[in-house]
Amino acid sequence: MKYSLKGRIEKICALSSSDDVMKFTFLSAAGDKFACIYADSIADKVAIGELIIKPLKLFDGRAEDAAKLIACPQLKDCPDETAAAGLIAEGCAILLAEGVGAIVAADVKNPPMRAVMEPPTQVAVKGPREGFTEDIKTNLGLIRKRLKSDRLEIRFLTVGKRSKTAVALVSLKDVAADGLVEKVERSIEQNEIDIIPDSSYIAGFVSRRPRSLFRRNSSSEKPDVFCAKVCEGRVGIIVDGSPIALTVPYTLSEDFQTAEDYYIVSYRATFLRFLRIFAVVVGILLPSLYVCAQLFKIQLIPKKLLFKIASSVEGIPLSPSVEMLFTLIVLEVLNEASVRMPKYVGLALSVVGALVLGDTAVKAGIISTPAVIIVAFSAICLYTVPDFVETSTLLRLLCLIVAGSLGTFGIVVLAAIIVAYLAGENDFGVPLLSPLAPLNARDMRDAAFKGGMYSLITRPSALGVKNKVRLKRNERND
Amino acid sequence: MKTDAKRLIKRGGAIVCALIIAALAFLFFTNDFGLVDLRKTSVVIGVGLDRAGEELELTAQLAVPQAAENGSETRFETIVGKGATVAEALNEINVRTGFYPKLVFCELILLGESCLDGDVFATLDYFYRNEYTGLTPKVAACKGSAGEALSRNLPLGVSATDAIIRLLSEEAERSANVSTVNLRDVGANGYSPSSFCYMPYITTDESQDGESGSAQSGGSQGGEENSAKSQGEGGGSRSEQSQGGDGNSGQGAESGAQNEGFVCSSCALFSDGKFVGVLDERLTFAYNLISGEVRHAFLRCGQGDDLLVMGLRDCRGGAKLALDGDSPTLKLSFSAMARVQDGESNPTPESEGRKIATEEELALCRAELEGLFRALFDKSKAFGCDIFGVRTQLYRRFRKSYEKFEGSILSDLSLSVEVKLRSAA
Amino acid sequence: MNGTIKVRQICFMLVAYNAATKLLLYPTFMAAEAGNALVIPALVGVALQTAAVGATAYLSSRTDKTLFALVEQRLGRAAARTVYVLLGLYFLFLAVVPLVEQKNFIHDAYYETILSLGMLLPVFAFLFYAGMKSIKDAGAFADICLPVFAISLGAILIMSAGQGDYSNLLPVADVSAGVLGRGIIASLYRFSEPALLLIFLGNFKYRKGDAAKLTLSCAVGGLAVVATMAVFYAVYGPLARTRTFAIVNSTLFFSPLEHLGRLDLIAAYAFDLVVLFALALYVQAFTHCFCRAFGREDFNCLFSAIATAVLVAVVLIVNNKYSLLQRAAASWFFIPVIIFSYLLPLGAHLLVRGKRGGKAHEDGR
Repeated sequence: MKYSLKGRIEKICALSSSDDVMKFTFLSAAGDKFACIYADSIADKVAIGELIIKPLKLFDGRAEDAAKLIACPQLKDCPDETAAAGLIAEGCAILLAEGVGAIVAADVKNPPMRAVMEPPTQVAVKGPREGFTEDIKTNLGLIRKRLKSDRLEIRFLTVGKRSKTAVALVSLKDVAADGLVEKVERSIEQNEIDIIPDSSYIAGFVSRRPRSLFRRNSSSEKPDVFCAKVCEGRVGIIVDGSPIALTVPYTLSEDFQTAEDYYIVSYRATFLRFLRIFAVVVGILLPSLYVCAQLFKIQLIPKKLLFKIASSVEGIPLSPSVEMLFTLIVLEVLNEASVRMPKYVGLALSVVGALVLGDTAVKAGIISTPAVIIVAFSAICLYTVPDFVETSTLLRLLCLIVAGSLGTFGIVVLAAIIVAYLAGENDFGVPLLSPLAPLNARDMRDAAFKGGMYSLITRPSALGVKNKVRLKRNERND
Repeated sequence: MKTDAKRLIKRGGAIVCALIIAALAFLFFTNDFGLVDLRKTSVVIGVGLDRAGEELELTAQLAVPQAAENGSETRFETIVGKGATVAEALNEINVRTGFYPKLVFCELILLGESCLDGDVFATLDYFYRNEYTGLTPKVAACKGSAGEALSRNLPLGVSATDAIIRLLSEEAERSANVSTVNLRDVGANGYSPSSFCYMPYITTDESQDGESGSAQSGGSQGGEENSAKSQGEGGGSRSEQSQGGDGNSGQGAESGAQNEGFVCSSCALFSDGKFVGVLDERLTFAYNLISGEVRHAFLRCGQGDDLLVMGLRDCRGGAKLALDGDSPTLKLSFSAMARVQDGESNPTPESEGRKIATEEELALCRAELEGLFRALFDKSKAFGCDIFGVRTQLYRRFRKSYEKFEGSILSDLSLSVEVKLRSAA
Repeated sequence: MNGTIKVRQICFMLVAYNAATKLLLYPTFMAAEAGNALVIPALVGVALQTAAVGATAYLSSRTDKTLFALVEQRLGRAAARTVYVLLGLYFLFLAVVPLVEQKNFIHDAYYETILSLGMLLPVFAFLFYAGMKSIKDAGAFADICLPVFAISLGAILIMSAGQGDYSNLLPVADVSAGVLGRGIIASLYRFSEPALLLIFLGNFKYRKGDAAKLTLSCAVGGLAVVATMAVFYAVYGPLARTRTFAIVNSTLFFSPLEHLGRLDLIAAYAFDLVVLFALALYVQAFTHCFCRAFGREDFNCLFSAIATAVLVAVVLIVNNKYSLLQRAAASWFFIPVIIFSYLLPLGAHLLVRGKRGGKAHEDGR
């Protein structure tokens, strides 16, 4: 028989080649034979029963008309058995009828997912506490909850030959620059890869210089931050399976902004932004300057402090630069181990780290107290801007190597090279150092410092947005 | 081709970057540029210079850190180097100790009496030429040997340099007790048209008994009054066992032979780099009132039953040259707010509560000050020393007449003194 | 090198780079040449430079063509290439004295021991890297350098202004003609900024009032130099001729530094960052000129390498011969400066036919 049910079931099951692919055959009221094939781990059996099987069991019409009875709102085209096998893997349930050629696929997937909760990497004292999850639909729901605009455009892409990961590009049609969404889409689609386990893979695709020390996209786990950036004219990227959403284009000043800056008094926000910038600069440069001062220019240290430091380092077997490098490496090891270690041994290892490596090493005269203080303070400083930590820890190490070999002048030249590099970089036409270079006084109100609510009338001009005004104040006649 | 070239450049660039980082890492770990880092450095905090014939003796006071976890131990040692010049003497210290003496933290340069014979700028030449030593160290001359002064053992682990620097503190300067100068001031003044410079003259307080101690303090009750009175004599600050001015300071008898403090109450004068003389305490005080920025000074006026100690505040002194035709006149002006600090042998609650100085008291103070300024002027003429910077003023403000009066201005100069005192309300 | 630059960015260069290259050894040099009247020759230099910048800025109001296009149009391509090659070499020539001063500054301000010449390699590495960048990037550098310059120089002046005796500058006006003339001749070679404007010609959108802004910026940069020199001399008086590097030495007497350490050096190092970018601009200008002359915009890497190699060779040659270089600079360096920075812009005016490109000026913003 041309459309033998048994034959097609066997073919589809052979293509799927997984033991969790289930088949269920049943008869309709008219006596026609039907089969439903689904992946047990991902398909919602209750939905299959209610939306597909139950209506058909009561159906006494022709088998060809059976598809009209399926109550599932999301039916997909399925031309052949191969496509059917693919759709089963995606979580659809395939309906076959004896003697009928058409294959009906109903999207009944219900994968296991985490509840919406506060993101662990972006804690807010004030402001919303919802965070993205690994499910793209939940994330899009969180976005739609905040952006109830008909201009909100969501484009789906499928990336990954084997993972077929859904990637959504989110933008506001009347705000985002012309062609920006297309550029982002192109930069993603021109890559072929097996699997997209996380949004960081997509980040690499959209970056003009994927090997750069400085990242080229902003990331956030918070839907309020994401929506605010989309409203500025950026394109958001949501990746199924990753709670971290990306936005492009990116400017360096974004890392120094937090969501809370917009929920608190602007003076406090300005102060905190300056503090973050100061902390990052100190965190990167303090170990290097300490080494430089000891090796090349002791005048940098005041006299009384110099004597204390000299007393502390007297007898230390390592040179100042090697001592600092050693201490930094110990810190990095502690940092990495604290993230990886099981909770149950965490306490014991913390004690080991603090007491043995810190206190005992100082008492044994292997490292000096100022080195421990400086490294600890530097680490704390860098974590005031967690989004920038990946870059700043490496910069700190690089500065230390340059400081230990070339001194303060080496640091100045390194700073000049980094500034020259950053000033010349842009992604999607937006300079990385905007709004500092090129200087835009109006946009600076939301960069290094935070202006009040009514100073953020226009969107950042560096993004080349279509609709510049985002805030209008209507005068009331009170 | 262009794409290939670009790819080649990118790859080459990556290799070059890797090589640079490797080279830096090599430099980092070998750290071998002949660097003189903190551990190989001896930090010189004070320098004493003495001449022994043609040779110069440099006594360097070093801060020697002791290994300690909390970094609180620092010893002070002195080491002597000899050579024809300061540079040679420092080099000898380097050779003998293996430590490279760094002068970046040098706070004091003390010239011994033997250095005052020659040109002071020849002795200090090294410090003006050395690009690593700023001109911030304070300069002082001392009676006797500078090396011995710096080598003194003072109690409580205080170094001689620190003790002398405390004498030359800003507080002492603001109370007109001490004339402080640094290398810059010595050079700027010495190379100006006036060719004059000065520096505090330090003597050691080797008083062995209470009488000499009492005499110095003006004979009395001790405590704060004592300090005020000794300051009221017109200058001087003392570095004693605890920084000067406590209840025991006037009672030298109890300290006796143990008293190893320094006294800085006078001022050495130099003209054209040559030592010309020393201003005593009272004239040093007067000079500081005119030339310094004094906030609060004490002046003793009168004697016997009329003895008063006046406190002077909001002091403004100046020496201005006026040229009326062919007669140059130096106008010394001084204004201050005066208040009686101490006086009367039989004080009463009414007199002690009175804040306003009477006209008689102001007149007494005025007369005292005028006398001091005239004596100072006479002294400057006697030394042939342009202590008021008259030639410099002539150069700056009367350039056209400079050549005419340059040589004779000191001898032709007449004096006009104006002292304005007002009572504290 | 191609791309556009904004007038604002050129103004920033005329303030920051203009002052930065003159504040290393120039104050000491002028203190030795002119004593207390050191500000007079500097003011004359500033005035001449400002006038020349004004004239060059006015040129940009008359044409939107580049200098190359102007010369090519009137004198032919060969002439245009020649002019650009000579101009490129001129920028390299201008970089020599500031580079050697920078070398001495590194030695004095960053280290306390004598270093090998190899320690200068980072400078050349940076010059090579930055020299490859475009005009647009040069503008971005200026956007960053101006705030750094303003804050660092401001901090230095705040720390030093109160420590000086300003009567050291007297008598200011009473200067002999010989001293004044010698001072002006000796310092004129430093006031060479008008030539840089020629490179930017045709690369920015001229709007009404931009010439005034450019002229004012040049004046501000020059006055910053004069102010710093005045403070320096006020602090040191007759000793100023013995004290090198005003930006490092003027602040020594600021009393909080006793307790805080030499934090003023941080300001000096930040200032030096601006000096590095100012030096890089010369290499960028050389690269631009040669790329344009040879019509090979993709050879920026090669030309930058050539420029850096030439500068390395020059520094090696004049190593430990700074006073010789200084004497030569004081005697005849002003001649090429007059030709390229003062006469060439005037000559460019003659090449312009009628008004700006048939277009009206853009008014307002």
